[in-house]
Amino acid sequence: MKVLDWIVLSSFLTFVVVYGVWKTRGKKNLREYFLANKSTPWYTVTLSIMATQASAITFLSTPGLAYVDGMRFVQFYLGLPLAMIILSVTAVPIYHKLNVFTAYEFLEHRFDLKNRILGSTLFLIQRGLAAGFTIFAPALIISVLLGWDIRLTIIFIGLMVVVYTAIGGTDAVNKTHLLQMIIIMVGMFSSLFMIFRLLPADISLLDATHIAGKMGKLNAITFDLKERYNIWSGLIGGTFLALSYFGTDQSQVQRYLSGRSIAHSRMGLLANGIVKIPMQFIILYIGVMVFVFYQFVTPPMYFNSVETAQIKKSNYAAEYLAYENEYEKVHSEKQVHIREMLAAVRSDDDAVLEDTIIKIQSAKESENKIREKAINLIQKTNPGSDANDSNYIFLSFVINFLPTGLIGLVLAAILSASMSSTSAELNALASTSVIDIYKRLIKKDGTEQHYLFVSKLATVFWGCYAIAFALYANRLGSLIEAVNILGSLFYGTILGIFLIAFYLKKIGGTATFIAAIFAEIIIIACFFFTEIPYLWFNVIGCIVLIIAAYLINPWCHSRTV
Amino acid sequence: MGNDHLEDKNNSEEKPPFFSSWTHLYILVFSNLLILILLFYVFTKVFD
Repeated sequence: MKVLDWIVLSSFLTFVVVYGVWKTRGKKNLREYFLANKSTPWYTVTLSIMATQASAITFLSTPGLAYVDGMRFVQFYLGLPLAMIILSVTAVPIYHKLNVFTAYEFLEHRFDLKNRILGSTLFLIQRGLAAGFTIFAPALIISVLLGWDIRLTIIFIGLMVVVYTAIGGTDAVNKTHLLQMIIIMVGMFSSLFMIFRLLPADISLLDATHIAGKMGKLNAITFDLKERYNIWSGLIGGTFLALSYFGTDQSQVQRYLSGRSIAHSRMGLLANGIVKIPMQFIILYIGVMVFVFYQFVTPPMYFNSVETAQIKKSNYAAEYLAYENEYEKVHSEKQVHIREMLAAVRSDDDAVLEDTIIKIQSAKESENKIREKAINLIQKTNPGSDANDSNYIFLSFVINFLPTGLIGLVLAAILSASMSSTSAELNALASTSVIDIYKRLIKKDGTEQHYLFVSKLATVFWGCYAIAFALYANRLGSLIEAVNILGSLFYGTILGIFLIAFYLKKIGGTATFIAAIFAEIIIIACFFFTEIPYLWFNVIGCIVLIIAAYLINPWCHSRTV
Repeated sequence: MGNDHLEDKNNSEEKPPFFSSWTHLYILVFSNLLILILLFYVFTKVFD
């Protein structure tokens, strides 16, 4: 990074932190601290919801996923608009009417204390771990590619967030989300614009899209149930996941609970339902365009530059370099075929098109074989290294090809995304800890000042916990998939509890509680012992819970509403 | 929890901005989803 990049990056981040602290200092009570005094307009609610969901993992991992796997991951979000409608009709008016601070407070109104504690505990476990991920993931990738010390990077990101979140609470989170989303959007569109500028002069946007399509990357919609991401898992599993995430996860619920009225909360959710999918499409498209770019410039065989630097100093250096030369040769041959393919597309010559696609696929297979051998060498040098380098693709491209200044901007966008998610998580973890556990069970008769102080302390505690977790986390496969897999282990159960609460009035608290424990055991067993794609865990957990609760209910004596 | 009932305006009868009813807005969101699915399908097929 050059001086200009550092200036751009540090200016943005400093501004966000100072703005967050300055504009939101002086909270006087829990309502101001956790609900921003219910003063947030709908467009801020929308941006806050989007900023909470779009972590750095989204911007680092998603383009890499598209580079490797194409655009089918966009189907993951198809259920989101349906979930926004359902929540606007059901959850929003109920949460507002009951004047709750957390989603789990509602469970006590509906059932009993034990369901409230179960719901809030499941949330604290799941979100507590995820908060560590949202700091760890960008820190790992940035530290590898920029040579920053990973521990300092983790601590730096974590502390920045803790400062303004602890001081300003929900209001600070919302107001900084506004700025962060602006930085993220600017960074995103700037990257896309630059990728187009970097393509060869004779390759237009349409040409680039044709290349991506013919090479199998524009698989946005698929009806094949066997595919990991398809329209059915997106619409059904995705709806369940989105209902659970936006309806029962306090990190999202708190965003729209701060809406200044039911109408503003609803609008915030519904606007998210309109813009979220196009936004994800663009992020995936960025990854696909990076792929197209690398059809005309030889990409690294392996995108983790620390690992490749290591092997080039090892005894396998000569062998690795030989693979690199071979890779470049195959890549150059493939490039010729790609241009032939493009000429065939332009002249509408199907026979030549088919022939060139076969040649390109054959070249691609040769490339993959060489890459596999190279990765085996890397793993001989470092047995702990990950064969999957997709998380490094986008940032590697940014650092090596974007101009000075823009690198700083994109890094600011990535760090903004990390901070925005983390701040919402810490805010939610603190509110659940204080409202559902501390105030409800431990100290019931404190003053408002006492609870406010404990809330700030809780935010700091969870921030330190997330930093500590991030410092000791291990690498996983695709990070965005890891976070969503983790969520899917718990979301189905939590959603099932809330669906019973909202819609099945005859089922009581005890039946729900027992069924929830049972459903969670089933899901964990499915995860360890079956090959069921994780998106379906949300559906399975929810349905198992509801059926079990329905069957158990006649034998339970508990109050119902 | 929350003794201050400042949300006199927070009633489910409050209309959405730009639309005469919430149902119209739900239809818009749903229609937007259908259009996006269709566009993605066309996009996939055209460039496949």
